[in-house]
Amino acid sequence: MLAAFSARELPEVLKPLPGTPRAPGSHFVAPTPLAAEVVRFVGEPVAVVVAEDAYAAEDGAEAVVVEYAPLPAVVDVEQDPVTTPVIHDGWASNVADHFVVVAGAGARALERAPVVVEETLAIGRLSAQPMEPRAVAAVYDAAEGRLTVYLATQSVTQAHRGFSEMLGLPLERVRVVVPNIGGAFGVKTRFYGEEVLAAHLAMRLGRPMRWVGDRREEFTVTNQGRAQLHHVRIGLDDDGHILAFVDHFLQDAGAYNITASGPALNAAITAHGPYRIPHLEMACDIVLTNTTPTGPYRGAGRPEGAYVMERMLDRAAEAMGLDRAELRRRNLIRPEELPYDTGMKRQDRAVVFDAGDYPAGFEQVVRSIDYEGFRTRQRAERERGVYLGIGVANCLEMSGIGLGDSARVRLDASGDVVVMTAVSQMGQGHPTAYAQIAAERLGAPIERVRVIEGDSATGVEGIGTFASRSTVAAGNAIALAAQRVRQRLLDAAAQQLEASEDDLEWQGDDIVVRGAPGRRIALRGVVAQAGGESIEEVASGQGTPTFGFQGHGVTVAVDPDLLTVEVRDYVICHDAGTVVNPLLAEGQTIGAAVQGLGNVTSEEMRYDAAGQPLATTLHSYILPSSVDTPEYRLYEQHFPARTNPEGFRGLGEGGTIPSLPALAQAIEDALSPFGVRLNALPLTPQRLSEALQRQAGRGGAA
Amino acid sequence: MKPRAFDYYAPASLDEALALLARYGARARPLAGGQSLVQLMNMREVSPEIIVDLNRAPELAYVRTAAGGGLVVGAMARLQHLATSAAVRGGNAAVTQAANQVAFPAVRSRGTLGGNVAHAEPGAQLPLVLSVLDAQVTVARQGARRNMLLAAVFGGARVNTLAPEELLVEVWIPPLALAAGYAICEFRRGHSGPPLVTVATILELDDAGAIVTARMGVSGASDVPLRLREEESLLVGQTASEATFASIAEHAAARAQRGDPVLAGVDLRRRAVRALLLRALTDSAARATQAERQEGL
Repeated sequence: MLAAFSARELPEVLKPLPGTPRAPGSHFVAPTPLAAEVVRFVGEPVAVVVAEDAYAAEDGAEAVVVEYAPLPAVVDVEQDPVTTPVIHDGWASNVADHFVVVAGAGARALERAPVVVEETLAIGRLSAQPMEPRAVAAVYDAAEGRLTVYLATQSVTQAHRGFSEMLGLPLERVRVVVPNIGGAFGVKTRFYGEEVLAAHLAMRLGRPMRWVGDRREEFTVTNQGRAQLHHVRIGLDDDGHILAFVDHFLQDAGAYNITASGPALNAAITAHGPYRIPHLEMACDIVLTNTTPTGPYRGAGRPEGAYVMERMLDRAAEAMGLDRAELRRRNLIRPEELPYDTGMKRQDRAVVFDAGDYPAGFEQVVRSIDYEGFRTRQRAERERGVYLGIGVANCLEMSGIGLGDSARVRLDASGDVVVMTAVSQMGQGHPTAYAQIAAERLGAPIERVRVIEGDSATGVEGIGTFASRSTVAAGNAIALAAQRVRQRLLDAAAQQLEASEDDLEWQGDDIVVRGAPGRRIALRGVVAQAGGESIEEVASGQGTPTFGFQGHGVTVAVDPDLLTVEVRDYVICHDAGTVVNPLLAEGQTIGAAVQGLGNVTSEEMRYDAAGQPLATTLHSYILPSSVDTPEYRLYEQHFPARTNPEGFRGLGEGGTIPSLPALAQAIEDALSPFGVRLNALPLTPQRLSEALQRQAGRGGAA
Repeated sequence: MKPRAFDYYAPASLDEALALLARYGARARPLAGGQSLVQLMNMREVSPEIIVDLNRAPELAYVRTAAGGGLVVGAMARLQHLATSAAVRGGNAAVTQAANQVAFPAVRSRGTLGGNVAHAEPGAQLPLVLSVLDAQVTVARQGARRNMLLAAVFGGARVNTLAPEELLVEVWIPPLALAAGYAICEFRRGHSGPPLVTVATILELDDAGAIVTARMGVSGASDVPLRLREEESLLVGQTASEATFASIAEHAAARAQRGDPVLAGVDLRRRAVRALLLRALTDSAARATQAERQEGL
């Protein structure tokens, strides 16, 4: 062991991690890199040990003696304002933030609804578990006063500012490089304490420093997701048209309020879905508990929002004696109503659904899953003791949010093209897709295009890869910059060749006049004339949201004894907008859907009353494997988004969003002979067993 | 997730290994396939001072057909070998099936029969199936050997009854009667999750469909594999029928006492015992009838 430090011995970095308060009046509260006096959740770091290798470091960590005086633990998100202890000194309660999204008359409209259905719905807490845990390596060049950090992050620019702020170094003396990342799913959006500690200790001890989280740390320290509790009322007219949707919900933020508000706001906006809703009220309290902080995880609130809307439609259909698909049909926004202003405001901007054909997408799902023929099959199979169920659910995938992103496209005299962005990839295949965009707009051979992402040294402005925004924001920026480069190239070439721009073509190392192979000019010469060493352009893509339809249809068989779920058929129809690379797009959709399957049927971060996490290994936290993955049948619509020039739609999260309600609906349908109502996710065999026990206690059929 | 430091020995023979275990006693742990022990060491839940690696002692890796049928298996025989060997299938096909149900090929390629049994994981397939088969083990210490019922190896969840200087070296597995029908049913979460409850049954029927012998057990319902002796004697003499099996399954379900709040509580394990036992008995009876007919030909 080389060194060990407690919080007291690192006063220079003992300040809250940076971030931005969401709104005036909200309590943004971030942890310090090490807990100084109070430890607020299991996993919060209290000391740092430096050693030559991980074995010695763990020996050192084991030798750390901590004297804990136990404080009462708060784990429930529903809290008595009088008796619940506060987690942060000086607070009146553990409510860190409150916001309301309203359309029309909000909750007041319920008074006019002849049918009102009320329900409490919950989405349990999850852990993302990317294959590679978080990791950082820092090198400080004392002579130059320069810090270089290699970091697994989704936001190179935020990390760049974070290091600068926490370490007191000017931005130009910090470089953050993002190498290939082994998965992220949202949890690497945040700036974490270990990252600051590694960089600080590299400077302080004068040697390179590395920290690689292990699986247990990934379970206890890294952000978790979901964890929402919704009290919902839906009002309808006698024909099943939605009049009002009112949801007062609680977001469990964990022990700090760092990144929980984003998913909560996404849930509030996404609940609306592709339906006509004249009056809506989504009110949220962000509540602290003594658990690991929560933040974005694939879908980041969108699956939760879709879950509450779709499950309320199921309940309303049941209450009115209407078919679940029919109720949805009556409320889907028609193509001629688009663009559709929801009346909602997101960060002071109107939420407007841009383009699509939602009824056509939904009918595709209903037809493909054989919704009409299913009931006959279901009855026949039940005779044989097989419990089949069906679910259909929709959403609009909000993508491309956040401020803009820039891109720099450079054409060198050699004919090589370099594309630089501030987004970063963790397996999506950005370098392929972005090279395609640039090559197409430039008319260049794709093998000449190189993509550089996630390096603060490029100086490209942007905010990073999350919220299904990269291709919408950076992709548009690349297309625009590449077009400008091409324009300058062609202007110069047209002049030299005395030909029209429209007749010019990039062939190998030359620009040629189409149909006149003798009339050509070396690229090198054109570039030299147009820009010297290279032609370079920087452009920005906006952060205007797009809303793409996605519908899921699923049939399952539930083992009535073991309560395991087998997916029999799974149909997805989604509006992919303008697609850059069909294979990558399909991969995003299927991967997201598999994560939804895990969310519903196998994964759960459960805590006991003392705040101890009950699953901290992959033995007890069950991720779906390739063998558990069903064959997904995909249908695509292609309505270009109207909110960005290229018509791109984000695709990273849509596959997860309606999978939660679709699967829950199907599982509940399969178990309908037992009369059990499944309001809370997940629906693991253990949770289903608990639900059946409760039902039996009520004297139900089971 | 890195182990504490330990001394490492790689003896080239069984004698050398036993000498090391004799010298170091409780300070040492034998390492077989390492598919459970190494994980526990990495999580620092187990931290032996000394590791005696058996992988360089080739004399422990064998499968032989026993005189009079059945199998004699060395402790270091790999599970993937048991899962795929024709000799094993011929000696006792229930072992083939049980070995196939352990984890996935990568784990089976390293994992060994001796390690799997001695690790005594509740819910595990082979400890249960071999107990129900009345398999025996040979346990060696320096200069001495003793035989005992395999079922007596289990002292609790992940606890065996062997003395620190002892090593499980061999398993003797009796053959299945030609007319016997066996079934192994398990409940696990996800394709490669740990087995939570496993049930194994072996039935022999007479020409009239009455049960002549019944052997059955369940693991994961308690800390050690549970032989269902009472249910066995209740079954003998009865006619194989769904009603009979259902009442036996109901009887056995109440024995599930083990549970955890995340993967499967007691109630869910009771459901699993009930359902799996009914399925296993039904399958066993069907296979026994089939075997009977084949024998008759």
